[in-house]
Amino acid sequence: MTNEAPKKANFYFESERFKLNAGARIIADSIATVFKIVGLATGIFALIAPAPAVQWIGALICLFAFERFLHRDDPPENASKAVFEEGKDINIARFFAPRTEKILVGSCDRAVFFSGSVFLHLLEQLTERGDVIEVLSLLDVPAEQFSKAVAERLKKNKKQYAGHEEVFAELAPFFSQAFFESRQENKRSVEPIDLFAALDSISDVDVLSIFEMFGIRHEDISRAATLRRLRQFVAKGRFFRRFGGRVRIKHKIMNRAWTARPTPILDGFSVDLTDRARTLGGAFFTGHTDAYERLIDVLSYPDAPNVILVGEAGVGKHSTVEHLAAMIVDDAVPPQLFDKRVVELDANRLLAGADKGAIHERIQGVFDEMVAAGNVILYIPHVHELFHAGSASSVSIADALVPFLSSNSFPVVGTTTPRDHKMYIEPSASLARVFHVVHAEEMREDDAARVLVYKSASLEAEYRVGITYAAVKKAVDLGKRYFHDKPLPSSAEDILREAVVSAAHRKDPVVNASDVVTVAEKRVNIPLHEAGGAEKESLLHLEETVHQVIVGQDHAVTAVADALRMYRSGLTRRGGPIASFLFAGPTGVGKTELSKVLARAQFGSEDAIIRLDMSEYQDPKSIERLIGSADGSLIGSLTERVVERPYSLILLDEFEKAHRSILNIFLQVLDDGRLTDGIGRIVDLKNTIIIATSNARSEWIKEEIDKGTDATILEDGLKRKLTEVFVPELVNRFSRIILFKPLTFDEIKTIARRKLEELSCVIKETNNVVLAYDEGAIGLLAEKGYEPSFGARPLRTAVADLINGKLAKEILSGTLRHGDTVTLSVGEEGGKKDFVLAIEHHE
Amino acid sequence: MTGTVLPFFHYLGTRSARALYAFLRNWYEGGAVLFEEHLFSTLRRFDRVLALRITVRYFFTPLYNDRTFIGYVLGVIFRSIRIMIACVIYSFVIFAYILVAFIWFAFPLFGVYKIITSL
Repeated sequence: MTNEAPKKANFYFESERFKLNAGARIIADSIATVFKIVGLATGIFALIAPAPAVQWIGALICLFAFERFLHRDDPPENASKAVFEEGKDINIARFFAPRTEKILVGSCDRAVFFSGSVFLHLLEQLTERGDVIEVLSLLDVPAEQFSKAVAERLKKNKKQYAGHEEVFAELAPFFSQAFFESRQENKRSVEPIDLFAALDSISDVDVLSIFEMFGIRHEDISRAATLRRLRQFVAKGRFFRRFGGRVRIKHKIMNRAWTARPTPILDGFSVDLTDRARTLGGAFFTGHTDAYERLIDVLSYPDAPNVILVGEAGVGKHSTVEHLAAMIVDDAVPPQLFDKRVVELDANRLLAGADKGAIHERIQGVFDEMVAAGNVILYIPHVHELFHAGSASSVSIADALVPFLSSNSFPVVGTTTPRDHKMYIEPSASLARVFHVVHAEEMREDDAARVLVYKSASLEAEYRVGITYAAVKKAVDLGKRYFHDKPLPSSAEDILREAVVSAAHRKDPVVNASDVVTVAEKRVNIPLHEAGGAEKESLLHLEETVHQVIVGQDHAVTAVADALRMYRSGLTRRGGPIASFLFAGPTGVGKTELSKVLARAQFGSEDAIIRLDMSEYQDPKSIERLIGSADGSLIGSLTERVVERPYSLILLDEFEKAHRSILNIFLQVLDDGRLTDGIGRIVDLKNTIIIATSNARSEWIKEEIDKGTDATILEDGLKRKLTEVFVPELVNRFSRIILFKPLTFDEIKTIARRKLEELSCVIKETNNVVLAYDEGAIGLLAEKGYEPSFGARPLRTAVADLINGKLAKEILSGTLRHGDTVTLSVGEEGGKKDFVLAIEHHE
Repeated sequence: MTGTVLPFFHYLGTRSARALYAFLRNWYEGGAVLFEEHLFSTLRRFDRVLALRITVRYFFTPLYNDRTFIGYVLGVIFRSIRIMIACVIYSFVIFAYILVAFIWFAFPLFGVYKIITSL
């Protein structure tokens, strides 16, 4: 990248073409064209003339014409090779391709003759070009709609220019911007697509609003242009060798200096990455330059040149080692690594198909060969597996390897995950001493998008399906936000590949952003797309849906529904969980039930609930059970489940009963949506809804409600009361403290009615019996099933004990048979009210 | 009138002059760069196998890391042969490129010379 250099020189734009008015320019261009035609015709005729002098004139004319034709789109000077000295005056017009200059001149003419902003005219001209249309389609922007929007703006824009000079003055800063765009990509000339990218950086309100309207961002244009160039590269077949073709990897037995020895045993149990790089060329490498530089530094050490690359699976550790192999092939490494081979050991193959003695001999043979060869860098993926005490077969490799590692016989590069490193490598003092740890962190989204642009070109070639840049960007975005089982770029690549495979099956020619969202939705089972018509309606009437299950608690239901609506509208605070609630109130009033409804509404199923009974965490040491132990031997009940299911509802029952030190870890969770687990891994909780339930101060709530205190005052008072139980900063970190009121008798009756409806459905389904009931039965069930201290919880027991029991007896005795109708009503027995069953037999 | 006519002829004149200048520059300067790039790329490809500089650097290193007397002797012998083969091939390649480049550069000048002498 050479975007720094241009800033030092003094740039200006001066072109003869801009100094002429339109009429003079057309005449001059016509004269030039006539001259060209006449000249060429003269040259051709001269070639067949009898006189040798004329023939040579013809030859030189034809040569000149042919050379000019070949370079017709070249700028006067090649920008990629130009040197920009500090303080020197540079006319950037010399780097503009003729077709780019023609578009600019055309826009100036149109602006002068027809009025309207020159930038809008420029945009209009650009949108007629194939390359710009292609870039727009890669951005999932319908080119027709885009052109229409430009035309409409142009109709309304009545900007008048006094002449070409004024237009030229307005364009001057834009020329420089377009030139810098081109320089950033190190192009040889300023192309029309650079004008398009530069338009996003100017201050024309109309142009910017069009870009805004279609969600086009400056960096997206250059990425889409890169993807377009790669496509052309693929179309020309140059890409195929590296990414899709069947190429036989040719193994070089000897190094170039003839100083090494052949390694026939090792070759049988390994893959030579330098051979691959030599045949296929180096792959695109980005995002891990720090890790790579550290890797080559350590490998150049005279003592212990052994590296262990620590990073999550899919973070790009293997690509870093592949890049090392490619750089060795290109001789772009320090002298210590010159002419070396990077050899990936296949431990499984090494240990397969032979008895213990033969395997031992084989292992020893491999390592002896490497020492003798003297030019091997051994690469062992998942190196921890060799040192894993449980894998008995691998111990032999480890046992054989350790002495070589200690004696610096050959450099070793191993890869492992942070967890495995902590568990298997770190505890061993000898291993920790010989290995230098290099951390490979997750790639930034920006780098991941660049990697995926290159990968998408190979996916296109492999599946014969087009991929838009918008799809690439969406895959990176969703991969980062929702798929934490793998880091970027692997998570994004997985989604994109799945979308491409799915499109290939459907015979869909193009994969766009919405296809990627559809695939991601299937995997996470939560709605990710913009809310559509039916879903919008459902979200707007969410309270009604919730009230089909939850009785009363209008205030709590509205608060939860509001949170969901905000999330689906993209208005939730970035950085924390989707929402966090503290449900406070007496037991049996619907706190858990509302959580279940919320889990179904947001995550599609109650299975998405991670339920933790916080009364089990009253001891400070129990924190290990929650977030895992430092040595990795105990996995965290919260952290591990969130890693497995990052899109979930975390229900923390009886929150107040947890130990204060455990409550403190939720400060970070509620604030940043992150939690560091026992082994130091950061667990992302940004896609979770956190609900803590508490019965604390229930008595006070009941007293205040009995006094008739207003709900808002009550909620404020509750917040103060809760600070007696929780530290104030924890209470304040919840998005909402939601008060659940004790249920009224009428509400209990409604729940009783629903319980009977449920029972009626069950008995109809299992025994084909119709259960009827009257108001008296509902009232009696509400009376029997209500206890102020337990809310509606005893209702279920009351139904089981007082009704189900009777029904079961009737069914088992044969009194109640298929097709019968049983009516539940209230009768008196021994002066006490009780349920009575009246059976009507089916004829 | 003068305000338009002068820039008009200036535009036509500079355009023609630039076309001629661009042709000469592409032919000679561009040609030189093209030959140089091609020559070095070809030599680099050969050097992946013949490794002239590396062979010279490791001339006295034993062959195949065989640190016996035979290894040292064979190293010198084989490397000498390799260097000789490399020198012959590289010389041939360089000569071929120089020849083609000479024809390339001389062609327009030769054309002009022929025109002048034929008149």
